[in-house]
Order: sequence, then structure tokens, then C-alpha cells
Amino acid sequence: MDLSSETELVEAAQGGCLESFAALYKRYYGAMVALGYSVLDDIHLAEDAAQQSFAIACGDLSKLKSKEKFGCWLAGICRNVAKQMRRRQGRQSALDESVTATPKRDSFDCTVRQAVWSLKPFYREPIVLRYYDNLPYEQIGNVLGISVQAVNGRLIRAKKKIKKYLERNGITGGDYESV
Amino acid sequence: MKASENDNWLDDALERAIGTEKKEANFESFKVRHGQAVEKLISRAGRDTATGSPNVWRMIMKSRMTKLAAAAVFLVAVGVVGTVVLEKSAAPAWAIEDTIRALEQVSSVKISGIISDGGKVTEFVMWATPDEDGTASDLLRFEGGGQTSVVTVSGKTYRYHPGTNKVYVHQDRSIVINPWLGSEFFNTVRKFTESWEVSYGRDEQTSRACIFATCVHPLEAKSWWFQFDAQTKLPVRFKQWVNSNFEGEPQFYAEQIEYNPQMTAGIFDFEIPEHVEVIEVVQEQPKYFDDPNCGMSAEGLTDEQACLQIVEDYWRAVIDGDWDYLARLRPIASAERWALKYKFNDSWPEEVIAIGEPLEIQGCNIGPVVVCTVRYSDGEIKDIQLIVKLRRIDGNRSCVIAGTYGGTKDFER
Repeated sequence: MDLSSETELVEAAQGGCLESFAALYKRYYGAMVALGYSVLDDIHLAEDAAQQSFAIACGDLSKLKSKEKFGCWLAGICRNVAKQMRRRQGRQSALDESVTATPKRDSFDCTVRQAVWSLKPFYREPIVLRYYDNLPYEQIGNVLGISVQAVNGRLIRAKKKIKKYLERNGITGGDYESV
Repeated sequence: MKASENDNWLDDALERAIGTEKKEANFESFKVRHGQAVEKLISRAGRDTATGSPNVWRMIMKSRMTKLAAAAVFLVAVGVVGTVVLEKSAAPAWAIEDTIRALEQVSSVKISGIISDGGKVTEFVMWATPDEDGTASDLLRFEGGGQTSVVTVSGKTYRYHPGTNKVYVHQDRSIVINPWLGSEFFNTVRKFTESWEVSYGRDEQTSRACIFATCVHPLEAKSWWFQFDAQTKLPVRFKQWVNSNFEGEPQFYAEQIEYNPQMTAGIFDFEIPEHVEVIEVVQEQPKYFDDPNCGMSAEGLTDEQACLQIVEDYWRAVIDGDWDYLARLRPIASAERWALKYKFNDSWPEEVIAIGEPLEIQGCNIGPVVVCTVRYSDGEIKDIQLIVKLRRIDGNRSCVIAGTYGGTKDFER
């Protein structure tokens, strides 16, 4: 990712350039949906959260001083918007129900999803960012405000935890082949 | 290679489970849905893009005396996190409980010793009395490094530097022994340290029978050496190293500890000498309040929403044992220390029953206070008042849990 050009885009958007903001929107939309998804476990709500975050960013962009941290700043907004939505909708308790109510044919995917959503946000966020939209490590790092190495470390640890969860539930790589 | 022999299957499984419903970015639909926000952005065209508030430089007082005092206090504070039970099988029955009982009778101390700070050695002498709870010091006089500090009955701290002819006045107790070097101290030490080794001998100077004990705090890489008087069971000397191997000069050496010493009248009073420059010291907030890596983003939230959000996240982290996140939200301790707090507390928050509205409370100048009703694992229900510090760093709004307000602590000892 070209951060210098991103800084220029942010600067231009701060000056009212809609095209620049549109470029930022396209660049970060997937990541914000993924981030919202990691909080809400509902892709449609996650989309709403992402859009709302960009709307807030439109209004507050002029306050952003560290232009090179746009992704991280936007992620902060998105995380908060998603959490507010979750609170309003009382989603937390419903999450488990929606997962367990998934039809049996998807039971493998369902268990994988349960494994992911059983992670703490610290690990869940990079996993969802990575596997929802296949985001490169660099952009994940941008969004989470951490280095590429840290992204790599978190993903490795998160996957270990997921693997353990799956093993506890009787799922191994061999089972995956037969799905 | 079969799928089960590497982790590719997991990557595939995760992609399939999570990445099946990708959504495309459609800026046109965003413009339609959020027209007002877009208008707001466009309306900035042609305007100056200068952002945020100007940099404000803060002058932070750095003094040798403050550092020395901090070292002294730190020494004891470290004990809070250390623990373990002594070797009870050692011959002449001595247990740390004897010391704890003996310390219950202590109402004041005088400590003489040496502080080593980066090769610089300073001798000091300190007198102190405990507060009402017996958990921390109240009145205190510290002499060393060419300076004198006194925590007076008014709760103010006066720091006198004859060399520069200045008196610094702090509005609070800027030097505190916490926990108090009494039963509280060894109760907590008992819990946290390990590798205790006990031996018996005689004091080099007085030839009195003594017990010598060493212990280590493995996680914090600290080590201690204690000398207890065999008759009184009280600690008469101790040393602390900032490594777990007793290597090098101890950072702090309490060479002599006297209990309930005779003290001259007015030792905790301070009269500002004539012709000195008096400097009122503005209360410094801990550094982590300003650390952008701590706390939670408050972007997109009102102050009230941010307070509730961070408090909710905080309790979730406490209950789930998410120490990394907890340390970020409330950075008074590292993730390891939060884990220790959990490990060594008999009762831990289990359920948040209610979270109140953020309140501006007179006397709390850090930020709003949020009252939380929490049920602990022993069944007790407590109202915990959390202080939320709202801040703007480099133009970014964020917040951090600064601590608890009022008498009811959460899991602090």
C-alpha cells in the first residue's frame, strides 16, 4: 500500500475533495465491513456499520492530524459504531443462537465460525480481516495500527487457538478433506 | 502432502466459513444514503485544511528527589505483586505469619538506607506513619540527596532543596509507602514470590540471632533479601534487586529499620524558610494517560457513549480474562500483572449487574465517574466507581480507565 499517496488522498479529502474520499472509501470498505463483521457476526449489520463509519469520517475527517493513520482512525470509529449497534440490538445473546441454529449441512463451517467468534477481539479481528476479504497483511496492519510482523504473529496465534478449539470439537485436517 | 499434514486446510476452512459473503464497495449508494455527511465533506472545499488544536508543550518536572522518592515507594509497591509461603520445614520454627503478627503492633517506622540509581548512590533516612486503614503511609519525612521532603498532616507534600533555595509544594501526598511496611506488606509478599530460602545466623553488628530469607519474583525479575530479628520477628534489614538473580548492587537497601522510633516533635511539619522561592507543583497525571497506545478510540461516539463503551469493554475483559486488552484499557498494570491479580485474588468480578450513567463529580478532576454494580465470585455485590479519562491525542479522541473513585476498590489490595 502506498502510504504517501494515501496521505495525499486524506489531505485532499480533508480539503473537500470527494473523489479522494471515494478512493479511500473503496480502499477501506472491505476492511471496515470485515471489522464490523468481527464485532457483530452479521454481514448485513456489518455493512451498515461500515457505511455509518464512513459517514462519521466524512464529518470528522478535518480533525484527523496523523493523516498516515487514517485506516487505524477509521477502524476505531467502525469498532465503536459496531459495538453501539450490538448494544442497541442486544445482539450478543442472539449471536450464539444464530450460530447454533445453522442447518446441519453447514455444521463444519458453523463450528469454524464458532471457533473464530470464541476468540478475543485481539485475535478475532485480524482473522476476520484476513479471511473475509483476503486483505494483505500490510493493510491489516494499517487498520489495526500494528506492524506486519505483529499481524503475522497474531494470525499464527489465533490460528493455533482455532485449531485447538476445532480439535476439542473433534475436527482435524482429515475431517476437512471429507467435508 | 495430505491436507491434514499442514495448515492449508485451516486457511481454506476459514476462508469458506468467513469469506463467503463479500460485499462490494459502492460509493454511489453511500452518497445517496449519507448525503448530509457527503455535503459536509464537500463544504470544506477551498477552506484551509489545518486540522486539530495546536501543540501544547507541557513542562514535566524532573527532579532527582522525585526519582529517589519514587524508587523508595516503588520498592514497597513491588512487594504487592510478589508472594509465596516460606519454607516452613526449616528448623527453628519461624514462619512469615510471626512477622505479620509482629508488624501489627507497628505504628511508625524509621528506615535508613541506600538507593542506587543508575550507578549513583544516595543515602537516605525516612520516617513514616501509616494511614487509618494501615494500608499505606500517611505522614512521611524523607531526607536524602541534599533534599528534604515532608508529607504533612494537611496532605500536602513540601520538597525543600537548599542547594537551589527552592521549595516545591505538591497538593497531594507525592511520596507514599504503599503498601505500608506492616502486616499488609508481608501478607502480600507471602502471596506473590517464590524460591524462598531461609537460613539462620547472627546480625553482623549486634550479634543478635536472626533469620535470613531470600525470595524471587520471577515474572517481574525482582529479588529480595530480608533479615528478621529472631526475637521480635520484625524485619530489620532488606534489599531489593531489579533482577531475579541478586546480581550487582541492590537498587534499594534498607540498612536499618526501627519500629515505633522516638521522633522529635514536629518531624512531619514543614515551615517554609524565609527567602526561598516557592513553586506550586501542578499535579502530574500518570504518563499512560497520554499514551496513544493505551485506551480505546472514542471516535464516532459522544463522551457519554465513549464512557459507557469503555466501561463495558473493561468489565468484559476483566470477566473474560483478556489481560492484553485489559492492560490497554486500564494501563495501571501490564497484562502479566493483571494475570497475577487474577491468580492471587480470592474473589474476582463475575457479573456486571448494572452500569450507571457517567457523572461529573466535584473533586474528581480526571474525568467522568461511572458507577458499576458488580457481583464477585464470592457472591459479594459491590458498587465500583470507575473514572474515565477522555482525551484527544494528535487530534484523535480516545479514552482510558484511569482508576477507581472513592473508597470502594475493585480488586486492588
